[in-house]
Amino acid sequence: MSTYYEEVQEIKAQYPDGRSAALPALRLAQEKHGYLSPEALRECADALGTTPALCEAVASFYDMLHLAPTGRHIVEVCTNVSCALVGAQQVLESFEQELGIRAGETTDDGEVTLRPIECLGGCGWATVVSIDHHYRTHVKPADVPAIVQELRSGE
Amino acid sequence: MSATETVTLTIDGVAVEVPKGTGLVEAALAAGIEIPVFCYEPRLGPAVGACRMCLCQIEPGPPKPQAACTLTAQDGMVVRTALTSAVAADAQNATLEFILVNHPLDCPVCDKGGECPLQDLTFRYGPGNTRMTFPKRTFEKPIPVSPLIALDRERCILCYRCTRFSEGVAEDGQLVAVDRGAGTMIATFGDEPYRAPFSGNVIELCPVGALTSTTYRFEARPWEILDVPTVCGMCPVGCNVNATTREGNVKRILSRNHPEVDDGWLCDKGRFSYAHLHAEDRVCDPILRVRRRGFEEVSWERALDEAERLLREANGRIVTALSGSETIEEAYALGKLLRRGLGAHTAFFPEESSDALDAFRVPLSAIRDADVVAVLGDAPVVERAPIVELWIKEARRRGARVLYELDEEAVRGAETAILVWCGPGGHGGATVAVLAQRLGLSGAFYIPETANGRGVCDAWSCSDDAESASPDPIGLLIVSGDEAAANPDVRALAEKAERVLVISMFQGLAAGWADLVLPGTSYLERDGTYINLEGRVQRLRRTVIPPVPDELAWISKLAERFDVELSPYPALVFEEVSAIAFGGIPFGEIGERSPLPAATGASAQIELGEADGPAVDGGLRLVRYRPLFSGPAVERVHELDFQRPQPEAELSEEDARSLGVRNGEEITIRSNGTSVRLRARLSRELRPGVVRVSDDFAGELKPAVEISK
Repeated sequence: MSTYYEEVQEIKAQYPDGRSAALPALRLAQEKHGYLSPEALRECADALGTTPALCEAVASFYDMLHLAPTGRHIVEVCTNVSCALVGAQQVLESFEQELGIRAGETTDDGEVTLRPIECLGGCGWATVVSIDHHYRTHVKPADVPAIVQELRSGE
Repeated sequence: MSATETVTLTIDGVAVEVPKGTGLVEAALAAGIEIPVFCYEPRLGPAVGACRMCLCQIEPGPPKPQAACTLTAQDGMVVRTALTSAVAADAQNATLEFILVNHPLDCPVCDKGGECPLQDLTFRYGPGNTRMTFPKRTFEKPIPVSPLIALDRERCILCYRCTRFSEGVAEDGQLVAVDRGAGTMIATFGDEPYRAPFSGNVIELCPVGALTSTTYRFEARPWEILDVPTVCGMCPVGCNVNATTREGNVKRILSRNHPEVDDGWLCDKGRFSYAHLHAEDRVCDPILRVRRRGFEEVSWERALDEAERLLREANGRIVTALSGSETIEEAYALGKLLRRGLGAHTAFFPEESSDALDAFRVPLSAIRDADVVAVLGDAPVVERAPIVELWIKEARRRGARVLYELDEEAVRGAETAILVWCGPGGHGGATVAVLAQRLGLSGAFYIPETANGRGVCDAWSCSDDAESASPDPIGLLIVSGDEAAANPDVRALAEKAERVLVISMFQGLAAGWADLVLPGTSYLERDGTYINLEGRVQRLRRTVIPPVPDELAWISKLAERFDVELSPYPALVFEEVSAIAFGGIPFGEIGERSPLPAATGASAQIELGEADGPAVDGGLRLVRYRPLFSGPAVERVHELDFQRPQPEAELSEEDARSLGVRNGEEITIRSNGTSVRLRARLSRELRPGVVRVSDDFAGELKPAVEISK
């Protein structure tokens, strides 16, 4: 099995400038470590031949890269314009209530992380909620208890 | 060359003709009109238009204000700034109001207050008062970006000058913008300091008080300071600087852009070392070794008597060890006193120097414009002459090929190729000139180890024509300056000398081995001249009055006792040297941004053969280097401690591949009998077959080494 370092070298070879491999390399590091811990960012920087600071700068820009540990499930509620216009804020608040946490937090049992997210590209189906990277569309606050129930029951 | 193509445009009704490609900000300046900016700084690369301060009404173009800094002048363009356009004035006013929404009104306690572009532009273009009645954003403050730099996030206006410098000029990638949009913050990685040789430039680049110098913080206000133009004496580049002084003390060092030498950048060694003037162990009175009592401080009168006695008793058997940091005037004065007064012609120079490269003399900025830059010699340029590294980096960004191994075909095929030699085998530039001549180059540099080694050597040889054999045994060793006092070879020489006279700023360097210590001064305290690595004669000014008489003052007093005529004034001493070495240019004509003398005709013949790097069969060649952040002055500035090198070994990517070594991995470097364990740092700036380690970590390693994991 090839190591992380070797995999990144292969990705780097596909670009004229190795630093262009930052996003795939960060995604790989996240898969390996669960989230982009300082150690993961250092490992990524060494493999890319850049600095951990530049890796963190890129990682902190993108919503799909996590700089803090996440729960087993990730609930992401789009709060950009289209979703906001049809009540994304209320959906987010319903999740907060149902899960007993604030947006950006993880439940005490480490099961669910709730976060607002930038546009998921589903403006026609607002409000869009991403559950472990699978979209739920036209979500209303009333739908939230069932979704949480589903998550809790482990389906 | 054909005349430069120009374009004509109108700015606020003024027609102005500028060369094609001129930015609108510069074009407006040519018409005497200011387009205000925060983020715009051409030295940082392409404009980003981040701050929106430069909004102007521009035709042809969209019917809304545009960021002038991102545009170049075009024929027939009509630009209206806030001076003549209500739309532009509104836009600039609104931009300032927006920037000020979260900017604190702490100007009275902010270091930038009084010399702050945000303050100035708000005064001239901004709203007189605020409509914001809610609390401003606050952050933890100040955040120590490093022991040298404090960050006040509340004041940051996100112009990205600092991060663009870090990524695009110094290429250190240490200072970045994390997060996004309004939540963006300037930061380093975690709690790590901004450890990089050029970090201090971000303080000068910051257009607000967000990045401030920890050593200047709360030390002075702009209306009570005096900037004295001088030249940095910490390395052979000789960056032009302003020393900010307050009440007779140097408070900070700022860049003073010489576009051919430094382009307005400084390294942290040059910027922050000034605190050595107030070192705890600074020698302020002459110190005499006294038989039973050890040492005692004595008066200058007594010290000169003792010095005279030492000189006479040595009976001409004198060796003078020079530092390469003396001014030309000082070295000449010392030479004249010792050589003419006492027939003591023997000098121990810190390094070889040669005038052979004068035939290939070009300004440092020529590196930027070259197509091929060959960086040879294997020692790291940034550790010896940091600014040269920035020129090389800029050349690479502009598309030049930078070679670390001589590729004659590439060099000969280039339209303009420049040679930079840093490391052993250069013979003060003599062998470099041979190589440059063979390759038919127009420009080549040799990077010496000392700031004014060439000038000191020239001045010494100007001071007399006679010569004599080296004395054995040595009756008196004169150690001139701190670098010489710290040099192990000079210490070895002292073992063989009957008496030792040391001229030093620091007790720690002089105590214990000197019979007489005469207090030295720093480059910031002297008037005089240096020759930099280009061969440019530059003027040092006395920025503050030293606590002791300067060298020239007492050398001339001493000279009287030996019937040698010597002026205590640098201007007059320089004239003597100039008549012999610099074609008689007067002191006053050197100017604040001194010009580079034209290249001399190619020397008829340059002796010396091949460059003589020691050949190593099999294994790798170890190149050890003296780190930038070392030396007597730096060691006395504790804020610079964190800049000491990391325990790393630099390897070429090729060697790393064949050894199976990864970037960041621990490796063992071995040479017969000894070994060290260091982190591997892969570098594209090193040729295969060479491994680079700083003196701090090279231990007892020999030149031939092997590497294992």
